[in-house]
Amino acid sequence: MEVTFKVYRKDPEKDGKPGRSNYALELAEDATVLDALLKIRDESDSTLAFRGCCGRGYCGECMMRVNGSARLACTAKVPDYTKRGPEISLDPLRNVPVIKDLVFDWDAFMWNKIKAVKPWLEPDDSPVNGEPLASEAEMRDLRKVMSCFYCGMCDEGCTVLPVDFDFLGPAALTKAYRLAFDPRNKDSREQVKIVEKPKGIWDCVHCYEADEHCPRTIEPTKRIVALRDRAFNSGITHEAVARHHASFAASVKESGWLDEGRLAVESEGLTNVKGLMKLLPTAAKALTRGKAPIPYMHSKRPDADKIKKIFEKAEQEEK
Amino acid sequence: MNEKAGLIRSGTGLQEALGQIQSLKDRYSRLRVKNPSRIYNYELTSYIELGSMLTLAEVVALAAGARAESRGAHQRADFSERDDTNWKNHTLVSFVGDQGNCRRSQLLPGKDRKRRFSWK
Amino acid sequence: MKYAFYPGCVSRGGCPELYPSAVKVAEKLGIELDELKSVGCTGAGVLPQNITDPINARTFAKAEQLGLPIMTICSTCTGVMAQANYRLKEDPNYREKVNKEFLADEGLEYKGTTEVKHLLWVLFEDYGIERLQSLIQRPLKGLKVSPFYGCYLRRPLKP
Repeated sequence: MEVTFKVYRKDPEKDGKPGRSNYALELAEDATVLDALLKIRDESDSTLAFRGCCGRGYCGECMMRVNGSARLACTAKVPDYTKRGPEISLDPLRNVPVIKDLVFDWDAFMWNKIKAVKPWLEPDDSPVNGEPLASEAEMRDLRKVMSCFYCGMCDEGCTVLPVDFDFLGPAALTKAYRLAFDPRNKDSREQVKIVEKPKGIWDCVHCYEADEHCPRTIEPTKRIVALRDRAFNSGITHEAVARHHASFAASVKESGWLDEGRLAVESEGLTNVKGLMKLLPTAAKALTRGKAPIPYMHSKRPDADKIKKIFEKAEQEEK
Repeated sequence: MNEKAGLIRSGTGLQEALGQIQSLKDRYSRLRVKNPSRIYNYELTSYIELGSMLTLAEVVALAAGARAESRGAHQRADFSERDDTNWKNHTLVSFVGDQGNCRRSQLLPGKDRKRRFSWK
Repeated sequence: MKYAFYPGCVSRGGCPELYPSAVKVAEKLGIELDELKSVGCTGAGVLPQNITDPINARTFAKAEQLGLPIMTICSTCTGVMAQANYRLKEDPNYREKVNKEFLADEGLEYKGTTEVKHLLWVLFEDYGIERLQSLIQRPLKGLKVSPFYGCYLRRPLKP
């Protein structure tokens, strides 16, 4: 079949300005995008830079955007795209520094962030027969997380990274989860403390895009949520977050539903005069439009006591 | 290499392979890399890797040709039996200039668990 | 068309125009709403799952008793409840555990049959676009609109 590839180009040794090169190819019916790229490099343009290794969806190297959506080039079958049109566009990942053509900076994108979460196990000092052991049941869930092959799809789908590139990102945070939840880890609080800081777990907006992008159903957002729960339950949370959570929990526990007015006030802190003053303009505007829930003037739901019972029981169990 | 230095090898086949490798090496020596880039230059990396592959192919063919026996994955059609008397040793290929030659190791006597050997 | 109506916390708090407008729309379209008054907040993804799953299971059980699917008007409620529902439906052991430990005291049991749908999904899937089109009184032609419905409306993504 005849296909035209419109490939993003950028040459740091020339002017570094983004451009596009078009290549018209004759391809076999079962060709993948990576096959096409290799053919281009072998036969038409040996200056084209792109990454690719295993060719079978195993290594994660050939991550790129095909017609705008991130995926592995070696598993992207050309006929799937040509049925919508004879042209396929190829671009590097969005919001990531590009080194050359389709090659982007993995270090800035992911590796530095993964390194930052202390990605190794420090087993405790009492191994059995020289081996730190973990049971099958303990490792079952972890094995899923361990199948991460650092393809970067989750980071590519993340809605926070385009706004704040310093955010650690789902890939690094999932790595932190893998270590924090390993029973052989001497001090799982290590990883939790690292990711609890700014740009970590609390900067995730839990939009679940990462879970939808992951080709191995590792569910990074679920792992970030688990890290949050662990941080909160083990008292490793910085104050603003802790106040917010405590207030939310308190109003649900006491009345069965959220008192937003109370939440706004208590999140700033009852003694935080500066913070509370900042709320005043918004509160005044809301009041004039009848949209301000007055803090603490909050009715209880019917059955609030039953909800409270469940709440308290669940809290007890966590301990 | 698949054909002549693959699963089943023979002396004649390996000799032919060495001849082909040599002519490929000659062609290789006349190759020029057109792309002068210093950043992600796949033409350059392919060139370097090709050279290494040719060297390795020569090493494999030489060593296989020298070992006149069958042992494990090395199966010779012309020497189908294992020969522990003469060939229980390692093979080392080294290059002087462009010329590869093959040497065998000799196990030194002694009951030492750490086997010591020298190259003949 | 009848639904167990779950308005959520914000439509009665900081966004008070949402509740009455949803009720009016349902009335106009002939959608019957039976409001779930004695159920708790979904947790909004803020509270940990070990606390919110039982509270949501209770909500689902109450809707199950009415034999009605739940209709929400908040994207967050929709997403959080749909995910909790998925967990409770997928793993019968987990559902049994939650039932035994948290719901049994009240004589409640969640059997795993409740559906959670946002008003927009109700309109799109159950009511139907054509039927809606036939009711148009003032067309919004020529208006350039940028819809923002909240991504939680689409969670968990169906395989």
